[in-house]
Amino acid sequence: MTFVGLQFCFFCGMTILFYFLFPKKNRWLVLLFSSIIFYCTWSLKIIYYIVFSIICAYCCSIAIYNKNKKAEIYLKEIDLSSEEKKNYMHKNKNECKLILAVGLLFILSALIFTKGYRLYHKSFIAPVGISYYTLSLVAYMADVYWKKIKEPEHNILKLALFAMYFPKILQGPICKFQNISKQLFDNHEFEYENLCFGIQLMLWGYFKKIVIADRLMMFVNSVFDNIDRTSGCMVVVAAILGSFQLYCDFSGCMNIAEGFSQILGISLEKNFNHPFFSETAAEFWRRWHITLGVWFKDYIYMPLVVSPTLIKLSGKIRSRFGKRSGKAFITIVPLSCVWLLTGLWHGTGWNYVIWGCFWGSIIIISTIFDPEIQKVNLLLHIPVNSSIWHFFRKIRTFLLFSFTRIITIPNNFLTSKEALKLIIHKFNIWELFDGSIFLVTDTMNRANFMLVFLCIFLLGFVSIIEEKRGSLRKVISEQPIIFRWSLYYGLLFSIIIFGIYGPGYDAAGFVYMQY
Amino acid sequence: MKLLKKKKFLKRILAFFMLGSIIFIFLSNFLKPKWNYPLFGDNNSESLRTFYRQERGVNDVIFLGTSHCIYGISPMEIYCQEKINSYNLGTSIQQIGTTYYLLKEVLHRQNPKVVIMDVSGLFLIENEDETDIAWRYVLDEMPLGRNKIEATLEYAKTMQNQFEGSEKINYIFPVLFPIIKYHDRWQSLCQNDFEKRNDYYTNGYCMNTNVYNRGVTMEQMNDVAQYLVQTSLWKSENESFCLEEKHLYEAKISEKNKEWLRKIKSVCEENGTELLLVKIPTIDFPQFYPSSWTIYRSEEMKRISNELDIPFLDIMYDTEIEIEIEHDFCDGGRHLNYSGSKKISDYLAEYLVNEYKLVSRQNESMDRKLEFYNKVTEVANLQIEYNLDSYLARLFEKKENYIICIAACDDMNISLTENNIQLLQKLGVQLHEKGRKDSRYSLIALIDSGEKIYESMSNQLIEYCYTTIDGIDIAMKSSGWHGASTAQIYINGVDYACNTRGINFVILDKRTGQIIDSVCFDTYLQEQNCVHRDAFKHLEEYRLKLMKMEY
Repeated sequence: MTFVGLQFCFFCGMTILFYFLFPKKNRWLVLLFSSIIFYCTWSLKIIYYIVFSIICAYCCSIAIYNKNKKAEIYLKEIDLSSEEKKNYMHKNKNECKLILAVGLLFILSALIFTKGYRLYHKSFIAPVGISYYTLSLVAYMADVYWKKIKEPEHNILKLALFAMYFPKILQGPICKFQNISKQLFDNHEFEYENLCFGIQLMLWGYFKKIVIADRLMMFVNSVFDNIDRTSGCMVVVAAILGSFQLYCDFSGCMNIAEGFSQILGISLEKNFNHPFFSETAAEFWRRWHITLGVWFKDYIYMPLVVSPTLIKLSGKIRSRFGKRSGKAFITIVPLSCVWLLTGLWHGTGWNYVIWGCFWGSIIIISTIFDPEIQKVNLLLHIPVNSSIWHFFRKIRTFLLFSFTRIITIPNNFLTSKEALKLIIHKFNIWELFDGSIFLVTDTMNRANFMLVFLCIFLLGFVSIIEEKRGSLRKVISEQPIIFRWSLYYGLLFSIIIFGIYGPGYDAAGFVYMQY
Repeated sequence: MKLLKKKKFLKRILAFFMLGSIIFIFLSNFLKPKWNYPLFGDNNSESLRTFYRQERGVNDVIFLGTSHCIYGISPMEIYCQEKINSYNLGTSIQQIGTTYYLLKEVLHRQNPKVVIMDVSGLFLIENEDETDIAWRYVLDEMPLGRNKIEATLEYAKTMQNQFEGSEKINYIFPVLFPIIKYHDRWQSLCQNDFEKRNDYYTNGYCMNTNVYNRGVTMEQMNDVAQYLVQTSLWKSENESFCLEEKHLYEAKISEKNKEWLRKIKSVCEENGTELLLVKIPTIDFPQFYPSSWTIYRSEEMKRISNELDIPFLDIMYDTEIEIEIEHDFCDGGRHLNYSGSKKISDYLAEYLVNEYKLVSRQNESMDRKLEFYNKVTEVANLQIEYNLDSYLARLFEKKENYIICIAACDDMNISLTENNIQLLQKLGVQLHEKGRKDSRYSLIALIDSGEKIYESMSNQLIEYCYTTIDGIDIAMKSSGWHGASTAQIYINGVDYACNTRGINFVILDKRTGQIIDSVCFDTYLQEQNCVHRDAFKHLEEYRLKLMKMEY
């Protein structure tokens, strides 16, 4: 069961109904039960992976907690010299580290195994959402180890709910235990406002997914699947539209998850913040898939930056080659690791490695050479505060992202190489005007293109309002009922009429679901 | 306070859902394909829709079957002959399973004395493209009820058997909520979708006045069928050839379809309704058109009808109706045109009275329909006329209603008979003495409401322009063999003439302002071959305009 389909809508309705009918104290059990059902609809066989990961995380966190507590009591009860205390704590920390390492090894090996195995056996069914729940559980264990979580979850079923909560299992967000646990296990009252806002957000998510993303997917896939019969111009159009497709697909799913959770009174972390308004690559990745970026920052970047070995090495470089070199070193190494891992997280092919290296290089270069870039701007008298310059930077970042879509859409680097060759050798801009664009695929005719451009325009309009005024839903809720209902019906029936679903169309899964 | 608030919210939610449901139902109906002319000739939707709006128990006879039935039997013609109330519930590619559920609907709503079923559906082989659409024609218009649910489940089962791995639910939902299947029709909406839908005046019959003959005779068809029925398909498997059980032309009825026929018989017996199997003529090469009615299928059908004890009337092989391959088919022997269907309907009307002792029942609603039907058949009769004398006589009969435009092309008077000339003169076309004697002259004549407006004959190109009181612009051009050999008749800027050798006519109906016929009689040849151009198109445009004016 994906988020698209009548079955899912029925499932959501039933979950909401049972959730609010259930005794307040045990409402979280309804969520756990429905999450298990949701997961089992994918395949009963793959549930072992997630059960194994939950047990590992539970045992590991409890063991670390118990070890720390025991050490605390021991230190309180027995009078030791400061040297002995230090030695004992060091020993305890090492033991905890060992437990954490073993736990991480188990959990991550399942992730690495499934990703690697899929490379050679395409028919292998990878557990749904393994990348998302693994990262959540890794963060949970690390936070217990770092004592960011004061007390780990003693009820394994509650921990299971944290890992399996079905709105976030397919594509995230990658939530931190300390941020979501209270909301998941608390008793929420039914609120009319939550219901309205939640449904609005879900509808908007469905609109983005099945009206825009799935429609664009037909064109984008058709271009890249028939790369030997297409032209450079079409590749460029497909890459640009592919960016909107990915954004609408991914953020649409997030809206559905957020909307459903809001009906229950649960507020999920935001995963997107209008990324196409970013002016730099670094800003883009702070606005796109926010929770993944935060995860990499908290659990890869920061530990590396503060690691004694790296600080020592940076000091050595600084004393030998100067202050700037030392600073550059401490920037390059953690960022390289983060971006290589980000690439590998998205996929195991060479194109993902290149994709990660590309973004890493862009961010590293712009960070290190920032003073030089500023100087060039000054030299060329660029009005850096003007709105035209800001607009140019936004377009530049968007095009950069669209360029990287050429690397990731085809799923193999040879096709990407072929697409890039086409842009250089077989590019004819006239194809945009002579109707060739409507002949790429039967389903994307003139009417569909008109519709999709209208939708993208609407998307841009909504994004601008949200960027400037905050939540649009609040603005809508202040309008008269006729306006509000017309809007709701308009959105609902736009999805029903213009959505890509039903006989003749393949139900499209979400792009980020494969990770 | 809290309770009041809750009640208010509940009311609001309820109102939202109710209004949403109304919009949903409206959009579902709006986006549903209408399966009607001008996009679709068989009028499946309108026919079924009108059937469901009929009073209960008005029909004594019901016709079921495929498109052969739709084009072959006219209930209005039967009513006109014997005042027997009947309805034609034929639908395109109607599979036998669909026939069964339609029959159950019929017996639930009407109390027919006789059900006449065309047997084409028994020989249909389910295939991916056609099965789906064949079921949808019927299911889309069938109101929700026990029969619809049963039919939907049967449809889902049939589709599931065809597409391995598909789920039944994927076929059931789109039937219950047609918007799932048809939502993407927003990009192909046409005039038809926005027009008011009136009751269909022919009681399910589709009147087609095109005449198209492919020249295939019954003997030729059966000769080819003899070869095909004995030849099996070969398929290569593991480098050796093996024989498949499938024949190039299937003349056997499958066990599954036989079972459906048994069910149809038993449901008729339960309701005290007589069942009569018939076959409407269809003549084409079976390799091109598998539904051709060959002698082999006829024999198989007779065997099955004996086995199941159901009367079978093979109109093509066992009756004396003279079906003319040259004039009675609209698409090269596959479907009957108005001329052919008139013969069949008249025969069936008599047969029903003689064999089933059906009595005349005057019906007000049928009388109203008949009045309209007669207005349409007046034009249809003109369009199927292939004899110049009869054609001129028909024109003369209704000359007050028409604007008659005549233009000659190439050579128009070598084979013009005295009778032809007299009839033309009666109509108002005097024909110049010289032009009558010498051949290859140009001729232009215009008669408005029986009054000659203009006539000219020459051995050069002649042209004439005229505007009627209603503002219709007519421009005509004629040239005999001495000139450019052309005949052009422009009505409001569009050339409607056949522009072939002989006398070209374009007839305009004054009341509707529509062109009702464009025909050319080749009066150079003794046979005086005749060709009507776009007859069905003109008839439907006339019918639609008339409907708009009268309803």
